[in-house]
Parts: sequence; C-alpha cells; structure tokens
Amino acid sequence: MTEYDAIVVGSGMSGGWSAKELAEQGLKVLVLERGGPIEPSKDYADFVTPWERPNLDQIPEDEVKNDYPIQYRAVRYAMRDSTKHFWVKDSEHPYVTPKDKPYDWIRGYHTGGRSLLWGRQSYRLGPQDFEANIKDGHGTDWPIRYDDLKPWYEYVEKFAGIAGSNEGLEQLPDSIFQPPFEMTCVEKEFKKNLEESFPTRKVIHARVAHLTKPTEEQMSLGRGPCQVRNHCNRGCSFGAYFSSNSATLPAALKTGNCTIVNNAIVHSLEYDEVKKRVSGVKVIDAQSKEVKTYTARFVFLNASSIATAMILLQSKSASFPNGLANSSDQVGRNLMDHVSAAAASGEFEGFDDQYYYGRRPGGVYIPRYANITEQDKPYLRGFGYQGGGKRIGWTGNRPGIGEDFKQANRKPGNWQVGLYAFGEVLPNPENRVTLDKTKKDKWGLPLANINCVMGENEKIMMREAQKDAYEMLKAAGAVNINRGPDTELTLSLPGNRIHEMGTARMGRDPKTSVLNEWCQAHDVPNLFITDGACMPSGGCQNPSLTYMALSARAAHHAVKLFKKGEI
Amino acid sequence: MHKSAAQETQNQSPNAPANQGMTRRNLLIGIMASVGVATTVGCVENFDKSLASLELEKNSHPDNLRFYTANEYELLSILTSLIIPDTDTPGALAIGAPKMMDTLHADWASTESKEKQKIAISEIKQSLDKLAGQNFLTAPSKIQLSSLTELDSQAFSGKKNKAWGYRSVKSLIARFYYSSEVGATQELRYELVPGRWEACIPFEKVGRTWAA
Repeated sequence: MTEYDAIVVGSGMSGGWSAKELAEQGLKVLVLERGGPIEPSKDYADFVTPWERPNLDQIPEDEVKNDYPIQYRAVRYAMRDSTKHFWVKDSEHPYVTPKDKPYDWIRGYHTGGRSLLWGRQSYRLGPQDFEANIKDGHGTDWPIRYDDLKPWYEYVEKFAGIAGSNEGLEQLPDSIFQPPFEMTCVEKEFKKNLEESFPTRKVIHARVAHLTKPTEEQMSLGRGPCQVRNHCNRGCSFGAYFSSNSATLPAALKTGNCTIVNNAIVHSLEYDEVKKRVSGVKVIDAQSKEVKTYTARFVFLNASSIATAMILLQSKSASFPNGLANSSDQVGRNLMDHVSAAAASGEFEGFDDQYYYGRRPGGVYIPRYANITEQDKPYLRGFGYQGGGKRIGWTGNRPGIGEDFKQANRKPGNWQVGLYAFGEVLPNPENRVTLDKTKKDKWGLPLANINCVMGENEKIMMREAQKDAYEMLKAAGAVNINRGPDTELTLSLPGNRIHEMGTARMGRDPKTSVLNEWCQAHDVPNLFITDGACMPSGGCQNPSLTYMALSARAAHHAVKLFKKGEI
Repeated sequence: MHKSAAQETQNQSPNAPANQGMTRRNLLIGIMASVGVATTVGCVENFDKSLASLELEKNSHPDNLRFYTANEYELLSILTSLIIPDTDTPGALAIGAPKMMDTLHADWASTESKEKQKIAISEIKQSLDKLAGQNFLTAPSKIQLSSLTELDSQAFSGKKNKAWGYRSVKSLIARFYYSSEVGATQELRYELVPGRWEACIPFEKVGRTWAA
C-alpha cells in the first residue's frame, strides 16, 4: 500500500499544475518542495514604498558578493533587500561549470518556485515549433503536434488568466484572452509605421498572465484584477498575476486531497526492480537532514530542468546504472535556454503632451517572422521581440543645479520605444548537465556540473536581429537610436533568460528520447516529467504557458492510467 | 525612515531662495536637523551654542555620523542644498539626503565603494576650493553657488576628466531625493496602487514625472 496516489516533486510553474489536476480528480497528492513555505503577509514586499526601506532597498554589496554573485548578476532588477529571500544564495547552492563556459542558474527555493518570480509573458507555441526538429534535423521530432496541445492551452488559459489580443496569427496562435493592457500612443504610432514598412511583421500587445477581467473561478480563489503596480517580483497580495501561490496550489489544497511538505530535498527516486516501477521518493529534510522515503503509485517530476535531470541521474539502480529512465543516455543532455543580445531603443517626437497613468506589467511584442512570413534567412528558426514605449523618467545624470534641475525633472523625458529579442536555441546533446564527480553540497548530494554554450546559429540570429531592430525603429520614425545595426553583441549567457529546457526530452523513439508523447518515461511507466526538461525544442516564445498545458495534459492521462490500474 | 528629521526640517526648513545658495547659519541648522542634533529654528537663541557644539563635533567625529567626517558631511550638505534646494517643495537637505548617504555608506557599501566615495568627496572639495579660490566650506554662499554651478557645467561638458566623482554624488543625491516621500509625492508623482492603466492621457492630468 502506498501512502499517496501521486507525488509531485516541485511546487513551481509546472508542479502547481500537476498537483491541481491530480488532486481535483480525487487523487491523494503529496507535493515535495525543497524550499520553505511562503507566507504572503510576511514574505511579499509589494506594499513597500520607495521611501520605507533604508539604502534604497539595495542588498549590501558585501552580501551580494558573498551570497548572491550569480543571482544578482542575472536579475539585479528584481533583487532588493526586501525580496532577496526569493532567490537562492549561491553560497549555499553552488554548481560547477568549466571556467570558460559560465552558466547562469537562476532560481528560488520556496513554495511556488519561480512562478512567483517569472516575467509572466505567456505565448503559445505555434504549429511550426512542433515541426522544427523534424524539418531541419536539429533535435528529435516532437511526438505531438500543435493540435494535440491546443485544447490544453485553452484549458490552462481559462484558469490562469492571460491578458492579450486576438490577432489570428498562425505562428503565434491566440489564447483565451482577458482584455489586453492598451498600447501607449507611441506604441500605436510605432505599430502603424512599422506594419506599413514591413507588411510581413506585426506589433501586438504583450500577452501576460495578469487578470484584467477575473472570472468567478479566479475570484473564488481569492484572486483580483491587476492593480497596475508592476511590482510583480515582490509577490502580489492581490493574486493578480498567475503563480502557483495565487492559483494552482490554492485550488489543489481546496480539494482536501493535497499535502505540501516543505524543506524536502529529493535525494533520489527508488526503483522496484521486480515491478519495474518507481516505488518511492527519498528526501532529505533541508534543516534537520533527516532522510525519509515517501511512497506513491506514480511520480511527477517538476523540479525544473536541471534539478529534474539531477534527480534522475542520482537515482541509480541495477536496471539503470546511469540514472533512472536513462537508457537513451539523453538525461541531462540538450539543455536549452533562449538567447538575447539584440536590443535597441529610439526616441519618438511629437507626443510630449501625452502621458500615462499606472505601471503596466508588459508592453508590446513582435512575433517571430523569420522563416515564417519571411524566408531566406542566414539562420534557422527565429526570434520574437519584447518591447514597449514609455517616457524617460527623472535622472540625476543631467546638467544643472537648483530650481532649474528640479524643474527639468518635473517634466518627463522623451518617449522611447525599446525592442529586445528572445531567440530560439537549437537543441545540442553536448549542452548538458551531469553529476559532478567530486563536489557535493551540504546535504551530501553531488553538485550539478553544467557544460553549455550558445552555438553559431544563435550568434548569427542575434546579429541579424540587431540589424532588424535598428531598421524597424528607424522605419517607424525613431530618432537617436541607441544601438546601431552593426553593434558588437555579447550573447546572453546560457541560463540567463531563465528558460532552461530539454534535459529529458519527449520523443517517439525510446532509444533517443526519455519521455513519450504523454511526458511519461519510456523506461518507467509510473514516472512523468512535465517541467521544462520535457521540451524537445524551445521555440522562441516564453515557455511557461506550454509547461502548464503539458502538465495538465499529462496529469489527465496519468489519472486515466491510474484508474485503469496501469500505473 | 528618517521621518522625524525630514518632517522636522520640512516644517522649518530654512527659507533660502532657490539658486541663491543659503546662509551658513541656515545650512548648519539644516545639517544639525538632518543628523539628529536637537535643534529647531524656533531655538535660534540657542543657535550660537549649537553652532559651537557642531564645530566641536567636527573635530571629534560625531557619533551620529557613521561614515563621513564632519567636514565631508558639511560639504555634502551644501551640495545637497544647492543641487536640490527647497523651492515650493522641500529639497534634498530637508529630506535628510546627506544622512541617508551616510547610512548607505556605513551599512551597504563595500570597502571599495567606501574608498571611492571618499575619493569622490575629496576630489569635489578640491575642485570647488579651486573654483572658489578659497575654502569652499567657509566661502560666502554666492561664491559657493557660482563655484558649484561651474563645476556642474564642467562635469557635463566632458571637459573634466574627474567628473565621475561629482556626477555619481549628484546622481545619488537625486536617487535619495526622488525616492523619498517628499520627492516622490510632492515634487513628482507616485501611486503605490494605481489600480488602473490609462495608456494615453494629456500630460496635464498627471502634471509631473512619475517618480516610479
């Protein structure tokens, strides 16, 4: 007899969905979260005014250097003294990389994981993304197509709440939307001018997981409409943006079927050689270091790509000497992210009498056009741009003193439109995470050894994206464009976009992939993986929405198998 | 934070006209308020005594300054009061910017940043002494104003290779000011919970730059 029907490892973006779907269908679910609990009243800092925290709410420099050198380097925009507890201390959670291949592993260990910290940009993959691998030969074919996932996108979008606009674009299918945040007058001008100059390109509203017209279901979970504060990385007491904490976990807990255990670091999955099934999950208590095994009929791994791969690699048995579900040797390989570098902004004249009210949590988006509406690119696949148009604010970095200085800052600066590319990274089996052979963490677990670089396609793509960004701004009427078409670019470090994916990919062939079309391990029928690890390719869209859809879909399939007694 | 000092000085801030510098007497009152020395303008009869005690503190590293020397602090206070003076809203000295910078460098800054700040202050002092043709701290307020105006102009015209020190101190003063309650809500505009998004409205409806 098992203690639970299902164990979900991780409570973040995908784990929250797994827990909700399984619990709502009547299964007894245990969620194991390696970090501590989140108490909004204590942990959220979203009502802190700029003047209520000393030292401009900055983390002391020595503390950054000692405890957060990597996290801070990557996400300083979100790390304040009042929010640093949302991010891991690098000093406590080290990992290993070759000296010449730095990697940004950016994360938070607490209930809700990075769903509390994400950028909330939410885009479906399009039909082309499921066909890319088979068409150009990089990676292995997705075992599903867009139509397989479409109903599940709809399913999760209704619950999560996505603000956006219907555009009818094939490559970026419309979601079930709540009303978008209106474009600023300069964004509208930019859109009009750009689409006239480039009929193959579109400027659309950013699609963000914010409630603008909450449903009864959303409000019944205590969620309310977005208050347009754009303080999202401090937590949201209104539950207005989607997170495990605001949405899926409350729904899961409401069923009475779900238990969350915090400070539970998964050591490994135990494998029953006779039943050929996972029999339990061995955990170490982060504080007491007590070791304990929980049992369940099946397991969902939602620990996030690198951690999920690490758990599999650590779970060695007679049948799987190289790690559980790893007969293909693909576990830990094909580590992907998105790539950035191309970016430009320019000023727009003639709107000085216009301003806005509120701090909108998103701007505009230019969906991928490369190799979709435009062909003959010197690179494979493509990129999208996030962007937005707003007025420059006050600055101390301007000439003048006295009343003149104060007067100058009373008037906002010029309107500025910025574009920032996110490109697809090709799957490459040499980009991988392994168990470090010698170094261990303070719980005695091997450190992740991450060996990952951006490739040639990514370089060329960003170079071209830089040219395009410049040309589009120019054609749309921008002046004083800050970065030219030939700007020398430094690609974002792998991991820096915080979209790690691919370390236990889905595929049709058990010899070359880890999971089948239901995110179920080819080798181990009662093991499911629905975090970023399952992705055979990454598209160029922000991936969380896809993890949500894949998690819900896999959970429903698992319940079917469970009820039939097959797992 | 520093509310009491800020509020106190807001209500009683010296009436130095904008851009005309301030008298040494008024400045000292401001400094004393911002470091928490018990003083009010109403206690002018005690002013000479306060002045004397401040002079004394200067020489003995006052306990309530944690990073700057009294001289550095005085310089910073003059800079603060001239760069962002009291106008129809209180200025940066009134909100206690120098004290906030003192706390920042004591509690937040690394050894390297502390050293850089000391160098910046020292270089600013040297430049201002040179421009004033005398000790800037004791120069008449008119000379202080003209010297700082010149330093600022040099710093932003690219002629001065040591401009980083002045520009970084100026930026920091501005950051503290516009992040303060006075700077954000009286001088500029700030809404903790806007509650709605209006994408395009006449500027007059807001009237000032959003502080954040």
